[in-house]
Amino acid sequence: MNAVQRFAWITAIVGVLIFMLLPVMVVVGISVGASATYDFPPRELSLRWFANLLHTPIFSDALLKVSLPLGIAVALCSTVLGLAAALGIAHLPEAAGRRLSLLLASPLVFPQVLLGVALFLLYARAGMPLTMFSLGLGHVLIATPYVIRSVSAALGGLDSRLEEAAQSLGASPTQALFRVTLPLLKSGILSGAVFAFIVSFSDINLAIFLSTAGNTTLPMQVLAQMQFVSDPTIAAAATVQILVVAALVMVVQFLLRRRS
Amino acid sequence: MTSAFALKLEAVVRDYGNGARVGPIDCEIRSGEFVSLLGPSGCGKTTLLRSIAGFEKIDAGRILVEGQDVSRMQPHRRNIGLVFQSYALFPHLTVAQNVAFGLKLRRKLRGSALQEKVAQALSVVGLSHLAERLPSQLSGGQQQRVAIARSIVLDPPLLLLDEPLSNLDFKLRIQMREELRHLQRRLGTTFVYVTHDQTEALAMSDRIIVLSGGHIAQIGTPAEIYSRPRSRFVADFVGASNLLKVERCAPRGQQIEAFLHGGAMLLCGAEGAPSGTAAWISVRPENIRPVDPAVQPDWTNTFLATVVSRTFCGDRDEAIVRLAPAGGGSEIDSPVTMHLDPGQATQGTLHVRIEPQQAVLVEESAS
Amino acid sequence: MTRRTTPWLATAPYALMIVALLALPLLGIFDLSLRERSTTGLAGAGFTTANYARLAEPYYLNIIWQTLRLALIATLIELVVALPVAYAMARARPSIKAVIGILVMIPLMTSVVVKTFGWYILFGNEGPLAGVWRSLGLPGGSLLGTQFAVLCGMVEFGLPFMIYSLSAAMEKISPSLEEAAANLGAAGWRVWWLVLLPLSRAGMLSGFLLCFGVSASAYVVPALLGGTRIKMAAQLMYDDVLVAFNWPGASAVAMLLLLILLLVLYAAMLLGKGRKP
Repeated sequence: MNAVQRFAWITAIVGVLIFMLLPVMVVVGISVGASATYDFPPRELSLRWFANLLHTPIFSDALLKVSLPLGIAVALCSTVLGLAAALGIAHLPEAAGRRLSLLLASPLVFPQVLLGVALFLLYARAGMPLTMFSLGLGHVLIATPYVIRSVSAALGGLDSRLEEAAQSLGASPTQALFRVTLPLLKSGILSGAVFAFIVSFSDINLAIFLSTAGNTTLPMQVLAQMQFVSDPTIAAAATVQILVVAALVMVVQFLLRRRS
Repeated sequence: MTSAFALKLEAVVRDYGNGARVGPIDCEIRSGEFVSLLGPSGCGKTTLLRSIAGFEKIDAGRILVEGQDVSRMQPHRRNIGLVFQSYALFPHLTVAQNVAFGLKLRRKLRGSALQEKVAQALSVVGLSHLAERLPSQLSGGQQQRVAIARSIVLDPPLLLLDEPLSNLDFKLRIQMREELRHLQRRLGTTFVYVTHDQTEALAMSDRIIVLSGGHIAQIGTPAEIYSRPRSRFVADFVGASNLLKVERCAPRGQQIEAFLHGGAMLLCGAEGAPSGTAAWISVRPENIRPVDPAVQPDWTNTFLATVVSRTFCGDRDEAIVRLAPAGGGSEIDSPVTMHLDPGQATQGTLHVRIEPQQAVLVEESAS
Repeated sequence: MTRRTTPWLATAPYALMIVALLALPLLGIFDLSLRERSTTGLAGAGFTTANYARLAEPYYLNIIWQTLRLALIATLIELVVALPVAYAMARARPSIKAVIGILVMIPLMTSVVVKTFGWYILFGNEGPLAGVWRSLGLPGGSLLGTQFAVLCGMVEFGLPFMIYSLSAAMEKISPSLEEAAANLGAAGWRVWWLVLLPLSRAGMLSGFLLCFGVSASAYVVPALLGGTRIKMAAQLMYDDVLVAFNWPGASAVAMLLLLILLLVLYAAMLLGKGRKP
């Protein structure tokens, strides 16, 4: 590849990356701008919208009382369910394991909006009120496949004979699981849990249908307020979303790189 | 209950269902023996080993370890050491922690007593200086020694080894062969060693169990297996062998006259298969010796060899020759391989002789 | 024997969750789509095909057509645009791969609301693009409500999915194949045409299906960027469920969308099977 081709190639790649990050950059840019109008690029920088954020209950509550705790709860549940499922699949005969794997990954490819509608109607039919719990159930449904995928990938990198080696040395299957397999799956489990959190933290398609006045998630609130709010506090709220996700993404990359 | 036999397999069968099965296998292995399970891939040797360890269930028969029936026992209760082909060291534990793994589970030793035992095992395999390293920091040979130390530290009555040297390079393999042999002698533990490499089996074992197609083809000492194979398979698999098809046999005193297609006759030793079941004559290439026709007493087992091709092999030449009986008669159908001195020049033909003791009659198959 | 059944037991909780929260609700939607509309309860008593018949009306047909058209265009754009990045991710050395990985994963995992908000600002009347437009003396300026804006939003949303699908497929292609092609005389784009693209077919197909599904069922992007002119199927569902309380109607829309996606999946599978070498 000559220099011209290489230049064109790199320009294309960088161009695409910039395109993908453009809206994010706009939001962050607005949130650190001093002006009260949506001014991009910002001429003067200020953090006052973030300070304002703390005094704006609709956003701070959405973040601190709904999105964060919900995300953590979803991460915990998904990790338990996903870890168990991934371990189960690994110990099944190959063909059955593959088929089950596909089945358990179905919520990943199922259109989330359809899922939101389906759950809304299910809860309505069952007479279940819409609470953080009912929303959380939906989140666990779509987040667990991430845990399964993460743990299964980590399991794939392990020598399949390690558990047998432990048993040949006197460890019962349970002891082998806890003393050998799980410690070696740490980074896979952790990165799966982080993904599960992010899925819940960023979800909107389920939240649209399943949110109520008392349990509005941060993305839901940003969406709802977009037409009303007149100053960039909303951009600050959105930026917090971005920062949390970005930080966690880098944590996951770090975990995955360390493993290999 | 003590028993002279470290391991006894009684009519052990593992049935895969679609016609493939291993067994019935019957054998006894004495305490302190080094026994190899030798055979080509697919012969069932690894299945057998894993069944003894408990990772594959058996469909019939019994497995007795020091007299105790372990056939239904779960693997972690059997107290049988197992060294895996890939070593299966725990990557998140140091060498010392790997070795201590089984001891910690048993809870009988603690603290300094445990550390001492670990140190002892490590010094037996010569790895005391690497105790704090992680497996990823060790070479293949070192990893293998850790795998062994990890099992022997538990003083098992029986140690199973699944092709432990196959991942090492040639020179290291030769060296490890010696070391493993010495180790076994020193510890006195019974070793059951799975391999497809017959030179390894011949070099290390007290006895060899040759397996083929899920059955035992022959059990014997290395010398017996090599010099007196009972079947065509064993003759062919262990060491190189020329196999000549027998048409009919007639006894001559203590020995047997074996007639080949075309009329040539070879006088064979009595220790081989009886004339009723003999199907082939096995002659090792090194046992076809060049002779000076002038000093031969008679033409028994003497042939005129015509060299077809010759390949340099370092310490010798391997020559493919066609044999015709020296006393007259038609050529033997199939060419045979023999060894020649690299320096020795021939005009293309030479006289050779096969001692009757070294022409071994073998059956078509063992069972 | 517990050794045999434990793996199944371990996968059971989540499997049951899928049955209870995915499979059953789907059946419920199917059932609901055939019921009469009711103002009081969930649905009326009788069975009817009126909900599906309604979809044949021009207003609804138009929206469905818009949905499919925009989803297809967006997905095709994503397919082409994702190729260079996917290739870079598959072939770059680890440090660069990690950086690109982070830069692709951040937009992937950020909430679509946040990203669409960014486009909303960018395309809006007060946004920078409008400012540039006006400084050139041109009228108007807001791009909201245009197909361009909606496509931008959808393409940006779907790109990370496509990139991951493609790069996973490309990583499986051994670099020595490209070298062999070069050695035999193929250069530059010919290597792509003759080697890389054919071998990435499976990845392109799965990426296409995933992105099409995601684009066809998009809600936030058309809702925020489509203004009054552009409306897509998910908005129909939203309106029916939360505004008009016409739940049987919403169910019919959902079923139709699902059917369309399954048909596309089937067509793609046939395409994939037919062309196998």
